[in-house]
Amino acid sequence: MFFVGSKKRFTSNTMWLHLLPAGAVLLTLLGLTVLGWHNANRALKNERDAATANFAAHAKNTVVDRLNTYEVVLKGAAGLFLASDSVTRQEWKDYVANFDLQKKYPGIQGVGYVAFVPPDQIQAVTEDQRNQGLTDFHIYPEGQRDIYSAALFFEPLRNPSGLGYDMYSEPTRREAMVWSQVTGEATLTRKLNFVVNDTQRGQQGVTMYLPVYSGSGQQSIPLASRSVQGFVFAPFTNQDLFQAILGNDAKDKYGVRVYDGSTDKNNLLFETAHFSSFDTPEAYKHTTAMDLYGRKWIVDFSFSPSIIAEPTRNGPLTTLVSGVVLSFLLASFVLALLVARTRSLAHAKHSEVQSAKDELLSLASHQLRTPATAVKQYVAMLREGYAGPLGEQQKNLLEKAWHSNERQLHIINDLLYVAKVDANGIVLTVRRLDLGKLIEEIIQELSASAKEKRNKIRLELPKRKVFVEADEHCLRMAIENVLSNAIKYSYESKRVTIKLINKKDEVQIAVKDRGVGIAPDEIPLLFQRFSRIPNELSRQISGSGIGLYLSDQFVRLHGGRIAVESVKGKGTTFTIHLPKKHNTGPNRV
Amino acid sequence: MATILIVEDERNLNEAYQMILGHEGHTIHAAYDGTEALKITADVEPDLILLDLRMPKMGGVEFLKEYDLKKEHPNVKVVIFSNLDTQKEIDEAYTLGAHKYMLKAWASPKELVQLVNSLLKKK
Repeated sequence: MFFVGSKKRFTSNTMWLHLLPAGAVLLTLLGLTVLGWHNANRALKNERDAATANFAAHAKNTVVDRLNTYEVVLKGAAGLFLASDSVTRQEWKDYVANFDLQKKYPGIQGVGYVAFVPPDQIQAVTEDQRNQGLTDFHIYPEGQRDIYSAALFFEPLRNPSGLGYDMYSEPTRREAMVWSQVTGEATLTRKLNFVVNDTQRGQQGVTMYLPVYSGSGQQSIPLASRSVQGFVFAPFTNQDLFQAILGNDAKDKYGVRVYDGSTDKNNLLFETAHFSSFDTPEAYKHTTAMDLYGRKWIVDFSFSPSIIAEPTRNGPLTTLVSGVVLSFLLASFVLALLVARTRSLAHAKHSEVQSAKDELLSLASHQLRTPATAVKQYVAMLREGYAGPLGEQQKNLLEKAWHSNERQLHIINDLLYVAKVDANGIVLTVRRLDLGKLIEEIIQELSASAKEKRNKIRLELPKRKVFVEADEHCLRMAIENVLSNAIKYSYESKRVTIKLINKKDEVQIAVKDRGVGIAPDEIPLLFQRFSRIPNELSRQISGSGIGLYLSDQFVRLHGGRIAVESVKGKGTTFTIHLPKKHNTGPNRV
Repeated sequence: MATILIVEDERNLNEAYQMILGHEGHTIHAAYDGTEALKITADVEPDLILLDLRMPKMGGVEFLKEYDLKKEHPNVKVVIFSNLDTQKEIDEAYTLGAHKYMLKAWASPKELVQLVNSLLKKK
């Protein structure tokens, strides 16, 4: 009983004292987990940034290297004009053929020369070109303007009608040509729609221009001081240029968009075919800018997350999940340890208290019983003639002393049992009992008191023996108290019936008297300690009011119960319900 | 007739048992604790010992341990005769070889004589 009580206190109050440290451990570990997760994320971001920057730098260097090679080609071509006053179409063709453009400079469409044509020279230039075999040569577009230019050479020549085109008349090209003229450096145009012929537009691309200075025989004069006679140029389609540079690298790892000037979609120079497949929320983004030949190209990369190894990529999530799981596990472990420790302490304390109670009860039972036992022996010796024969009056007096002492011993005994029950000190010694035989013995013991009131005890037993698993002493006391009460509270010369009923899982011992009976509202008081219900007989009957309390407690210790039916003035039936098999659990009430 | 050793610390009870069993013609030796009982048993081999459990100096269980009833004195009958009803101590006494336990408070002189005689007959 004590331990059950202490358990209740444990769950309601002590639990919070355990939850607090366990909660503190949990919060600390969760905090460390979040910190670990944050660090892992930062490390991943650093690694990702390093990887993307590395890829971007590599791509940027490749573009720059490639354009530098184009510039070298143009510088060579420009050098041709420095070496000779007039470069023929064949010389140009031979020169360009030496470069083996398709193999060595993929992306480049060809190399050309566009010359400024003074207005008064248009006719002469046209005739000169026609004389060199270009019978349809003319400078176009038509129209009056201050400055004319004409594309005179382009190799490899796939579209002869492109020759004669006045590139300087087109604003986009003119912008690059003017800048090239001003700086003396190779310059790229903005995005161009390439001319297929004078009416059709082809692919998009850019063109690199490099100025060609006049005065082949004036080597002593610095180039910057000479006049520009035209430009060598190399057009390349964006697709060919960037695919050649970035295509293979970009295929599996990233998508690229290249813009000229700003990331406006109208300025888009190039986009890898599979860009959209990389342009996902999970993709790593990186943007870099390149200052190239008078233009600013902006390159947007969208990297596949797979550029970072999967274990590294999952590092933060793994850290978070394992940290959270570990936090809860450790906190649960701490909680379990604290609970176990408290229970262990409570159990030790309980054992200590129980041991002290047991010792006190032992001492009390010994010390209370012993003086009355001595009285009992000496009174009995006198009654039994150990000190010689006694007169009737002496016998009567000793008889009263004997009974009084016996009653005292019974009260002491009952009180000690109550104390034991309350201290949870009753330990059952369970064995298989012949219940009919036990009841017969109890009837035999109580026959004298029944005889005094001329009551008859009728026993009804089943034909077959009934066995139960029970503590003989406790069960004997339980039945004896019920039967003793039935005799006490029966009217004189009445019959008390005790009936043993054998059910499947339990036995019932019904004790029926024809006595004073009990009012319904008094029935709950029957099994309370020191409770005596006043009636017409109670004043004549001695009792401590603990007999039925002990019966109820002992039956409950066996997992049973006592039921009561009574009619005031007619009689009462107490029925003890007792399981046949004893539950091996704790024998606590 | 038999030789009986009464081991009981309560003088009044010890004397009462001496009178009751002496009245039956038995030879009685009396001890008031376990150590006195051991001294007596060094010289006398009783037929039966009436043994209290809770006594000063040496209690009944400790006496049985020293006396080594099972090995050294297998023919001696021992009745635990005590007002102590602690199951643990009763079980221990039985384990050490005691033959019977009776709560002193419930035994009248007649019942004591019957118990002693029934055990002596079994010898």
